[in-house]
Amino acid sequence: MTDTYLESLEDLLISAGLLTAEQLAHINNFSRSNQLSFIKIALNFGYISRKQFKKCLEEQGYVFIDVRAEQIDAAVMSQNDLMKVDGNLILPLRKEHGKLVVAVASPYITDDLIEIQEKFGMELVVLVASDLDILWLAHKLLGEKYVKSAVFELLNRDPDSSALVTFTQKQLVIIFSLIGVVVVALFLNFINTSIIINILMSTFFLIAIVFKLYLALSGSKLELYQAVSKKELKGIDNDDLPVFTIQLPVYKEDKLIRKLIWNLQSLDYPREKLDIKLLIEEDDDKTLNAVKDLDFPAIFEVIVVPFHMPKTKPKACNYGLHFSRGEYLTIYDAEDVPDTDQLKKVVALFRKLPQNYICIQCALNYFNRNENFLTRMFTLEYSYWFDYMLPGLGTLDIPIPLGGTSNHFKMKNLIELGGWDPFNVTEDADLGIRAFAKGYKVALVNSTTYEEANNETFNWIRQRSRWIKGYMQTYLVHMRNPAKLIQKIGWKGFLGFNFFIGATPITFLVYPILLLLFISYLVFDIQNIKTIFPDWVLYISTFNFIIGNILMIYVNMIAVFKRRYYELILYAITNPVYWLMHSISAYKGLWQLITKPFYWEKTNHGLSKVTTTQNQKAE
Amino acid sequence: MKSLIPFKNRLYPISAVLFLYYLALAYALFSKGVYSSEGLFFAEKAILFSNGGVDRLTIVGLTFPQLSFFSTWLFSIFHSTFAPFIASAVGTTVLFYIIANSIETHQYKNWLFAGILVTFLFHPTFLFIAVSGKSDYMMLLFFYLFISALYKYFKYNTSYHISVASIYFTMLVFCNFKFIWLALFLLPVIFVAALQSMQIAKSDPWERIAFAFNSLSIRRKLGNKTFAVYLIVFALPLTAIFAFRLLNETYTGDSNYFLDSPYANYLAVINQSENFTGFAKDQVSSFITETSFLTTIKILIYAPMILLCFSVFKSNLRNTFVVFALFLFMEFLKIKYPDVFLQVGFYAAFICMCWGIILNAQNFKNLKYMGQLYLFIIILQLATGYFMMNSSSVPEERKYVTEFKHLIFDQKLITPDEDGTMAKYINNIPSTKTILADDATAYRIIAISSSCKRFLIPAQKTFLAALASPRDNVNYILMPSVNNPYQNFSLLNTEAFDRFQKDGLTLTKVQQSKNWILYSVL
Repeated sequence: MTDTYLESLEDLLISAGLLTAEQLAHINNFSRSNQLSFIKIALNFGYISRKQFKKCLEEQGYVFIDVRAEQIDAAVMSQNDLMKVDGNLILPLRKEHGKLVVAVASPYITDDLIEIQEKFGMELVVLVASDLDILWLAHKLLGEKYVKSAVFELLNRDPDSSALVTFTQKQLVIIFSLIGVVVVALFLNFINTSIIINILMSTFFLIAIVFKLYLALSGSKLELYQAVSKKELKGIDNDDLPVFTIQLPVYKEDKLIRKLIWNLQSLDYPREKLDIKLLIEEDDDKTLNAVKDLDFPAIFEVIVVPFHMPKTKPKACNYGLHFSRGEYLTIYDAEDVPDTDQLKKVVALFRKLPQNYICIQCALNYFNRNENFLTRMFTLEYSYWFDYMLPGLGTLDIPIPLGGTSNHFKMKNLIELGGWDPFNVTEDADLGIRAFAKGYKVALVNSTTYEEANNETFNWIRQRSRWIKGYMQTYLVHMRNPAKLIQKIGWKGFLGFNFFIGATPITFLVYPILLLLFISYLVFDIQNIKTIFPDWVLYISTFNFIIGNILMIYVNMIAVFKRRYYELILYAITNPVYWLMHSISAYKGLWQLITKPFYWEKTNHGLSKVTTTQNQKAE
Repeated sequence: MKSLIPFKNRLYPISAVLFLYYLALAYALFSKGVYSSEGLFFAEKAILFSNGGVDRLTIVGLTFPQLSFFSTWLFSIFHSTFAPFIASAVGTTVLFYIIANSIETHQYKNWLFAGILVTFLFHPTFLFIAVSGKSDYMMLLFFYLFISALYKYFKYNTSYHISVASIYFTMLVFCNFKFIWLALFLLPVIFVAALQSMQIAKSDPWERIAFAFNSLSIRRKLGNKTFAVYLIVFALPLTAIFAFRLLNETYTGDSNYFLDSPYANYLAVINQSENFTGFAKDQVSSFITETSFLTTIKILIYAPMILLCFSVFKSNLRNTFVVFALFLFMEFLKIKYPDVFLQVGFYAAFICMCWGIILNAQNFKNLKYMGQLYLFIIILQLATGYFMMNSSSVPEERKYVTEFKHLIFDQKLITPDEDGTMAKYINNIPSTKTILADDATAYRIIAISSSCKRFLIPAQKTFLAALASPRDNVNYILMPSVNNPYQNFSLLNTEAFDRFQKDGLTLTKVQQSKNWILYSVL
């Protein structure tokens, strides 16, 4: 019976010109080896588009129902297994008149359908529905166990590493004691206390920037180093490649779906070995409908993340982990354009590296760098960050805070680490530190993912405030027990962590105060300042401030070199203005850290009018 | 024969022995009373800083060359007056180590090492730099590092080397401000380097230029790259100097304070006295007169190794351009400062540059009998170096050569520094007494006496009061004599003396030397 019906679906698709015989054979092979249903593969691995499939079935007289509006029987639902539903796209809904009402993506009888019939022991009433709606409903109703695990797994396993508690009691005592001491000191001796604060702030500012310069120079030594050579890349056999999971967490990115497919299609990796998961939030109908409306085949599976607080990207990624099949896993944002050979390079490098390397970070850069001032500055910043700073950290054996996307993990180690912390808004940076603390290493590979630089000021501030808040969170989490941290990552790692993760938000917070002092003293020559601060204090703080700014501008200037973005070099001079924007974001981040620590400031993507093709032409 | 001991491990003991050799020579000369003005200037600043009573920030922040002063200050924990001499011995040893270490992987490393060692052991200029307490060692160090990084950038085209070159260039400028002018001559070199790094399918340089200028995209790329490299190399030193001037302006009201004030820079006086043409009464006939256009010949005679370098660089346009840029720079210095003698450190820079060139040369192996030829030139250089120093226009350089010969052949002939006797006398004055002095010129006395406690100098708040009314404020006045070559640069000059007498101040000579008179205030 099964064969007859299956052949019918195959015949239907072939006669409609939607599949070739060769494709059919591929699908069947793939289905046998991966336990995925025929229709799941056909709709999610680039064979047929949902629109075409729907049209084809409608021509056969089938009517698509809105399964989300259907009545649900909780007793029936409790007998369903989400993993199975996800694989075969068959969802039993309720019992009605002695029959079992089942929502299916394909009305043709399959082994899975027969299995369900046997399990419930009753005849089936089959309702045809969009596979995406079936998934939406299944994840919403059956995904609780997995979403709870996504939220609480790390907290249950290692509560000290979770950012659920922002400030520990001990930290609060230290912070308030420090504030108290400063206030008392100001009352007792205002001038001397102000002098000490001023000197500490400006010296800290200079040291933090000198450290960044040192890192940049250490990193720039590796400029000619190719982690994976072209020759090594050529030597890779496609049959030897493992399954690679790509997670694509999105939220209201309907405008980017088409572009996303184009970008994913250009990846040089066997399609059947790609396990691409588009993670859509339960309330994100916009993106779900955009996927439904695609008039060309999709090459990803949709995972609907059920609602649960906190509504963050790491929670979605943790949820996606339960459904991922890959040996390796990476995350891309919707607008990302990775180098086509990136996944192969990562596999080649993982095979070369010792076992304790569990993550490979790729460089990030921007395809719309010449769009406006903000995108140019962002490009400078990312260039020095990923091309110089992170390699510098790696060279000095200091924990590397991972970048937001294009970090490739060994799946089993990622799970062992407890995945991402859903309460941390820079979960990637936090994961880098946690991995380092467990003795794992992060490597960098000579491959770049091009992203869309934020080109709108308020959007930029939102994004940056989240990043800076996340750095504060990460710093507070790992500094709960400094002695333990030193034990885990050593003195060098500890100092590096403090100067890189800890110092970054502090420098941004301190910057406007120093700037104000500098302007008042040097530009407006306000005499009152001189009554508080003697000349030598102003000399030292002015020196630190000027040299700090010069060095930061210089680090930005170096950034253009590796990428040959020479036309951007002059923009480095405007870094002090860019830093002021950081400061605004830092204060916003600090405020949010206190008032709503887990709130995920959403960055709007797809604002750029520049496409990658345009950019390549410009080059 | 290959040595069983790794090169680097051999270098440490050799460097240590070299340091002890320099230190022993420096101490031998120092103990006989042979000092350099620059060394004593730094020593005096370090003493002022340690003993207090003055604005320490001015000393730390504005004494120039800054880096050389810092290193002296560091060593002043051992001995305040000898500190600059230790610093120069250590610094020259570090220079040796860095140069010798950089040849580690060179095919001719044994020959090269022998040449380097011979030069550092016997070349009069390197010995002078090592034992005189002058800051030239630091200038040579950063110059060598800068040139090496620049050559490496040309070779590998990496941001690391270009940014490191820029940092070294900044350090170099803070060791010797005149090197800021080198930037002018590096502009065309960087352009040539950018042009050579462009992917243009032409080999002839002129054809490359023509092609680059006629193709819009290459022209744009070339322009952007050249400008970017200019900024990377020069932005840091220029802004650092700008910031430093700003601090000078803010703090002293004069942005050129670090160059022009005799309290911040010893050259402010020396370049208008000893090192000034027509100033010295005992001008000797120089080996080659120091005139613009002849400087190049003088350099070639002083450092004939350059000729060897030209032969190994014959096919590398941008590297050759660097050498030309340095020649032009030297000629420019003679045009810009026609009346000031060039110190030997500038010439020694060419010897260091030669090692930088050889290390980065690609066709070095093509030359036959390379090692022997190189060593012969090194020995020849010792001779030319001696002749040049012996007939140098800078009196201090001649003095050191003479005293060095005396040290080897007959130590009795060594002439101790004339200021030593006055310093010795002052040391016997009770420490409760105060001497009015102007350290613009009297820094030598303060440094040799190893203490500034007895002195009241312009950096102290009560100096002006003491100058107006010495009787109420000081017990002695140290004044330069008419023979003192620096007397016109002191606030306590003959005019001041006349004014004191007019005011009815009774001054009694208590000690007199060739350059100084110490008056007791009654």
